This record gives sequence, C-alpha cells and structure tokens, in this order.
Amino acid sequence: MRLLFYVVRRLLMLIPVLIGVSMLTFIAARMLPGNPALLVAGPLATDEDIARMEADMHLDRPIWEQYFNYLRDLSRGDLGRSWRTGLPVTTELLRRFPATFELTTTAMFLAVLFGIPLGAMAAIKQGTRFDHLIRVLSVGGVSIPVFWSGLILIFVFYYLLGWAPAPVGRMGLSVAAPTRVSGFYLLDSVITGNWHALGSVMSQMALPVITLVFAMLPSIIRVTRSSMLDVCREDYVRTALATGLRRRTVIFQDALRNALLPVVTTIGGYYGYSLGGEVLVEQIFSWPGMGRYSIDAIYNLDYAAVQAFVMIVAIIYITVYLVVDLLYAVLDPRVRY
Amino acid sequence: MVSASERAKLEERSARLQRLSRKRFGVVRVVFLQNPMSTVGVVLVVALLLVAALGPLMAPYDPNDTNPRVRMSPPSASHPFGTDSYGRDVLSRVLAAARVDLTIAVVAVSISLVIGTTIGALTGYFGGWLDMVVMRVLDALQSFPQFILAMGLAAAMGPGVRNLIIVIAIVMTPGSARIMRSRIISLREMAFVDAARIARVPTWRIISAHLVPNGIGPVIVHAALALSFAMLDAAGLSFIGLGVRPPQAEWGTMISDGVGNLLAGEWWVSVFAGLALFISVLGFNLFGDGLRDILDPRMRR
Amino acid sequence: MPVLKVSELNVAFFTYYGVVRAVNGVSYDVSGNETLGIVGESGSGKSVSALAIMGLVEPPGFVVDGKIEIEGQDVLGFTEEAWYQTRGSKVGMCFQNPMRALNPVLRIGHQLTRVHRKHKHSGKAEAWRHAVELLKAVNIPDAEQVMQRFPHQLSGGMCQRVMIVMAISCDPALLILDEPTTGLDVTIQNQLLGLVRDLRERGGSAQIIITHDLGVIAKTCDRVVVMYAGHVMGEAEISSLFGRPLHPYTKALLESIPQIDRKMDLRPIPGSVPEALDLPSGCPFHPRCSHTMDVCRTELPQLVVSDDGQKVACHLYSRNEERGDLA
Repeated sequence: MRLLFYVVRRLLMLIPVLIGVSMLTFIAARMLPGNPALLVAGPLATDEDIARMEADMHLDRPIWEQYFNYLRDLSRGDLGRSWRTGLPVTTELLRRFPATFELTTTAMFLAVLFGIPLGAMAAIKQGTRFDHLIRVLSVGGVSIPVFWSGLILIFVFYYLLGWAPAPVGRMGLSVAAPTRVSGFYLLDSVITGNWHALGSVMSQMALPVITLVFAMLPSIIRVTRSSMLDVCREDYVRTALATGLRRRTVIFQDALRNALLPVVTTIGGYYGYSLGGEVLVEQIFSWPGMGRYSIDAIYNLDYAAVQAFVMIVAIIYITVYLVVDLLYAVLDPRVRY
Repeated sequence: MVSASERAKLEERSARLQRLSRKRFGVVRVVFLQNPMSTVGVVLVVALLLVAALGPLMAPYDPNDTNPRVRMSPPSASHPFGTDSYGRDVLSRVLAAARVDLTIAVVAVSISLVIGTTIGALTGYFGGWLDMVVMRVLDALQSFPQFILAMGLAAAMGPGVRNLIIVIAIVMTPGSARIMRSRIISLREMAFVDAARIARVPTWRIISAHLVPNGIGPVIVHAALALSFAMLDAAGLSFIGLGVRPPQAEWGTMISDGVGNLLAGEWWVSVFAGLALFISVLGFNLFGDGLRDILDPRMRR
Repeated sequence: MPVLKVSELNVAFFTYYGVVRAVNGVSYDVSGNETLGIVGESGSGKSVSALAIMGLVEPPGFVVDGKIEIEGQDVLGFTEEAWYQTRGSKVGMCFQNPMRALNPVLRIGHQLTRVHRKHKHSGKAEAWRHAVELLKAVNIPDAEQVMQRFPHQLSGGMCQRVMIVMAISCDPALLILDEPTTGLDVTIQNQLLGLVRDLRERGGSAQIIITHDLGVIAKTCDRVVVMYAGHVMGEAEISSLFGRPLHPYTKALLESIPQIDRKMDLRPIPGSVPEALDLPSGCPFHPRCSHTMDVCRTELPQLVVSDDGQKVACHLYSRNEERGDLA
C-alpha cells in the first residue's frame, strides 16, 4: 500500500520535469531565426500553406498562449504532422518503435548477461592479468565511436567474409516479414512458426546487435567492477568471512547483492538512453526504427518530426528512469516508502 | 604466511614505491607507474596536441587539393592512407581534421566548464529559489539523451563549426554544473568558510578564491572525460551531416564520406579517419582515468 | 593447554608509501574460561593481530613471521578449506561499528541462520530456533520480530548484540570482540559488558576483548596485554596492572584518565603515536617517555618477568633485573 503512495509521489514529481522538457523543446523551436511556420510547413510549402500553418500554430498570439496550445496538443498526443507524408508524427514514430525496441532490448540483454559477470570477476580478481585485460578492453570499448565500429563490422563480416547479410534492415531483401502479431519480428516469427523468417530476422539482427553490445558492454563492465570493488571493502563482507562462510557464498549473498543495486540504476539509465533510438547504429544498418526516422527527418528538413522525436525520446528516457528508480526502491530495503 | 623470498620481494617493491612517492608529485608518479595505461593516455593526448598544432606543416599534401586522376586509390608509398573519391590525400586530411576536432572539443568543453562551474558554484552557495529553478532547468536538459539533444539543437541551428561548438557546450554544461554544485554544498558548511565570513571577506571572493579551487578536483576529472565525449559527439553529428560543413576535413564527415566506398571494398577513408578518432578519444579517456585515480582518496592506502 | 597461543607474530602492510609494520614480535595466549584484554591506542596493532588470528589479513597486508596456534593447531599454514572450518566454529569475532558490519540487504534471520546451517548442517527450522534462543539470551526483546528485520532498523546496541550472537552461534572455543563498546551509550555499554561476562561464565569459552578504553578492561578482563606501535609493552593480571603499573606507558595511560572525584589538570601523554611507516629506533615509546635512557634509543627492550608475575618490556626493568633488584 505504501509502495503505491510512493509510486504516485514519484509520478507527481515527474510532472515538473516533463513541463521543463516541453518548455525547453518549445523554446528551442521558437528561438530559431526565421519563421517557425516555414520550418514546419516544409520547403515545398506555398504561401497559403505557410499562412495556414501560422494560424494553426497561433503565431500571432502571445507566447504563453502558444505554449499552452502546445501543451494541450501534447497531452492529446498530437505532435504535429510531417509535411512530407502528411501523417501525424505520433503515428510514424509508433510504427517504428518495435524495430528500435527489439534491437535495443536484445543488445541490452546480451550486454548485461556478459557484462555483469565479467565486471564482477574483474573486481574479484583485482590486480591480476585478467583484471588488467578487462580494464584495457573496457577503456578501448568505450572509446570506439559506435558508428565506426558498426562500419568495420560490416566491412569485415559482410564484405570480406560474407558471413553476414547486407545491412538492409530487419529482413533480408527477398524475405517477407512475418505476420504482424506484436510488431516484434523475433516474437512474431516464433509465434507464427515462420522459421524461414526467423532465420532471416536473426541474421539481419546479428551485426547491429553486436555493434550495440560492443558499445554497451564496456560501460556495464566498468560500473559493475567499480561497484563490486567498493562493496568488497565494506565491513559486512569481512564479518561474513569471519563466520566461516565460503568465499563463493559471500560473493553472491553479500558482495553481489549489494553491488548490483547501483548497477541496476546505471543499466536502467543506459537502457532508457538507448531506447530513444540508437540513431547512428540505425542509420548505418538501415534499421527502420525511430532513430533512422529522425535522421531522415533532418535531411528532409521535416522540422516537426525532429522536434517530436526529441520530445518522445526524452519522455521514454524519463519513464524508464522512473521505473528503474521504483525497482530500486523495491530491491533496497533501506529505501523508505 | 609469506615465505622469506616473497617477503623480500614485497619489501623491495614497497621501498621503491615509497622512495618514489616521497619525491615531488609522488602520488602522480605512483599512479602512473602502477597504471601504465594512464601513461599511454598522456602520450596520446600530447601526440594529439602536437598533431593539431603542427598538422598543416606535417601534411604531405594540401587537404583540400583534389586530384581526380588518383581518386580512390588504395594506400601506397605516395599516399600512405590512400585518396578519397575526390582524389584528396587521406593522410593529410586526417592530420588536418585533428586540429578541427580537437579545437571543437576543447573550446566546447572549456565553455561548458566555465559556465557550468559558475552556475554550480552560485547555486550551490546561495541555494534557495535560484537553486531550485536552475536545478529544474538542468534536470530538464539532462532528461534528453545527450546525443539526441545535441542532434535536435544542431538540427535547429544548422551545420557549421560555430554552431557545433555551441551545441556541444550546451549539452555538456549540466554535467560540470552538477558536480561543482555538490562540491560547493559539501564545502560551504566547513569551518574555513565561516572563518572567512567572520573576517569580512566579500562573498564573491569566498566563492572564487576559497570554495571553487577546493572543489574543482572532480570537475577537472569530469572535464578530461568530457573531452572524449565531446569529440565523439562532434564526430557523430558531423557523420549525420549536422556538424562541420564540407569540404572541411573532419573525422566524422570523412567516415561518412567513406561509407559508400566501404561497401565496395574501398576501406581506407573511413577506417583511417575512424582510427584517428578512436585513438584520440582513447587518449582522453585514459588520461581522464589517470587523473581520477590521482584524485581518488582510495589510492592513498 | 591454552586455547590460543600467539608467538612472535609479525604482520606488515606493503603499501605504496612504504612498509607498515603493524604487528612486531607480539606474543600472548588465552586459556579457556578466561578473558584477555588487549589495550592500546589506535594504530597499536591490536586489531590487526586479531585479524591475523582469523586469517583475515588481506593484501597488501601479510603475516611475515610468527606462529598462531588455535587449540594446538598452527593456523598460519591453513588452506582456505581449513579456514572455512575454523572461522565461526572454533573462533568467532565481532567487529567495531556493528551497523556497518551487518549486510544491509539481508534480514537478520537470514544472516544468523546461514552461519549455523553452514557449520552444524542444521535445517532451517532448527537454525531459526537456535538463533531466536540466542537473541533472547542476549536480552533482545521481540526476538522473533527482530529476525525479520534489516540491520538499519535496529539500534547500535542491538546490532552489536546480533553480531555477538552471530559469533557465538556455533559455540566457538574463542571469542574475539574488537571495540565492542565504542560508539555506544554508556548505559548500553554497561549492559553489553555484563552480557559478555555472563557469556563467559555460562559457556566457558576463552575471550579476547580489544579496546582502547581502560574502563572496559577493568570491568571484564582477567589479564591484560598492553600494546603500543605494534609491540607488546606489558602483560599483567588485572589487579597488578591497575595496582602496580610498571611500564611508563601504562603508568601514563592510567594517569591520563580524568578522575571524577578529584580536581586535577588533564594529563595527556605528550607527543603523539608515531607514524606506522616511521617507527622510532629502539623502544617505540622512547620519544614520549619521561624516563628515557640512552639504551632506549637504540635497543628494543625484551619482555621480562617481574616478581609479581607481570611481564614488561622496558629497559628500566631489564637492566635492574640484571642487577637483581627492581626499581
């Protein structure tokens, strides 16, 4: 019951942040040199289109009324229309969300699966060659530009070795997408028993997922290692050892249980960040997700879409962060609610 | 229990480190000795600075010199890094780009450092409604994933080096502001601040001469690491066309120029530019880690 | 046969800043049903010697010399496996800062029962009952409820008692308590000390109490070892120590305790504890001693036995003993 109140309280605390976010986006848009209506209407707009857009955006009204209208539209989920397709941006983004989600979640899952054990082991074996190796690889991994590593992987595995398919998106060119159940191709192909599609989906996903995993893994390793090192210095680890418990028991029950708490928060943060569309990776692999949509929008001067994208990404980030915080409150008995 | 020979080894090692630590900047030497990677970082950063400073002198060709007759030629004796699709020497462009990328990163981070530290110091010291408002704004700024925010701002402002620097500076400011603020908050309760107040030291002096220098440590570490992020962001934005304008040489744009060729097997443009970027970012990361170890009290055992 | 026999123990920490000789040639022993106190200022090496007994000295610290025998067995050659059998079941230890010494994310019940289950291979229910019984024995109210709680929900005194229960739950022959009363209220302190005495009387185990507080020593111990800068300065029965202190350091310690019933100036010991990296030559106390002689600066005094059975490491006595009388 108290947990419910805590959740509600945290949700309420979101509101000022959301307002801040919407304000920033709004100000950024209005602060541009030139006519915002022109930007939103697009370069092909006629004078009438522009005039209509100006009226639509209430540009003649005082700024706070504009903001109020903006907020009102937002709350209705109306983020404007793309001048190119005429479709509401919200629809476009929603349609592309599953692609981004599938890619990011798979990569995150793998990165956590490998990252936490590696980081923990590096901490336990601090100072050994294994630890040094992990540390070097981690620093290297964090320093590689993600858009470059993706390209290198394509070059090596597609061009040179021919192991990976062409980076043309979620499905091979000649394979049809599985029947849409959830929008997540991995899931859909399994559900409909479409093994041919599943094979295609997985091979198409391989390289982008690996690229993302290489990008996420080092940070997870570093955070886990650092947290484990801090925890292993704590008094209670020594107490546990003093009672004769085996190192293995102490590592899992005492060290990891405590070390993973801040790691959960960090990983959640990365996840929220990545869910916003790994723009660069999607671009390279022609992945039809939200990130690539935003790049297309930029190239096409589709300003409404860009603005909407940035806004949505922020909201996703904040939401995921909130969920992670709540999860943390449940996991750590010291958090009072 | 340790054997006699192990003990002798341990004692000798300890004695050596002790002598080292007693020299000037002992901690620094010990850290870099224990952690060879940090030394590598320093070397890389220095190398980068040198290349940036001397780049134009070191380049064998003019980076913007097109030579259609040798377009897309692989690495050779006359063009160690090959040529791009306009016939420009890739090595020269990579060297020239070093200056561009480094300048952008350094200027952007410096601006964000100055503004961020000021904001952090003021809000940390005065607190109150100023603090609340500013923190809300910073919260809002940090609710956007950094690159996405940079992308949105750059899209709004248009490409160009000047805009790129401004965008990156804006995106990095909240980080240093927060760190400085939390340092100031923990320092302002200390006795020496009260002593200064009683001595009628003017507030601005308390902040600038006493609080900021004491709190600047973690901010410096953050700045070193921020340089690496700034370079990545700058290159990333340029990669998608929102940064440096062609034909200016920049690692991100070079990588993007080389993409089409990469899929046809002509790898040298993207690979060398990316390699240069990687090495530079690595240098800053290692350097930043080394700084962090120096300032980390944990090392003082 | 004494339960614990420490002989010429040497523990050193090989740090970046030099070698810290935390424990130097320290010897003491404890028998069943007696309480030994180890007293000294912080940095005297008392806690480190206890950690060595438990095999918990971690790098950069190493035991570089000496012998530690628990119930006759030399533990310094122990494998990890042997330590798992010894810690908790033959020797138990309680640490300072009880709030920090308990795992914050595990319930008290879990932390207590897992020890018993590990060593005695008991079932969940049996271990639970045993733990509740012990909690009641140390006067923790609502023992059943406490088992469900987390450490941050308990007070410092209760945490300390939980730690004691954890240490004794498998009936070890030796119990070591490191600063059991530091940081606690005086009233709680007294309760705790009474508890510790009761435990000894009932269980018959040997106890070591490590503290800097002479008052605690006076209330609980039979014999005392005085340590300074990693060396043993003296060892005595409690009545002898307080009645007829021999070592200048011991005398200075006793004199520095403010008396509540007399008006007096505070008499701290001049100077400060030497940096462990930079121990003085000869007797470590000589820079602060009011009876320093030339030999004190160069030669480390050995422990000699005085006529009333006390041991003392001071040149004042060793020289006189050679001459056949005592100052």
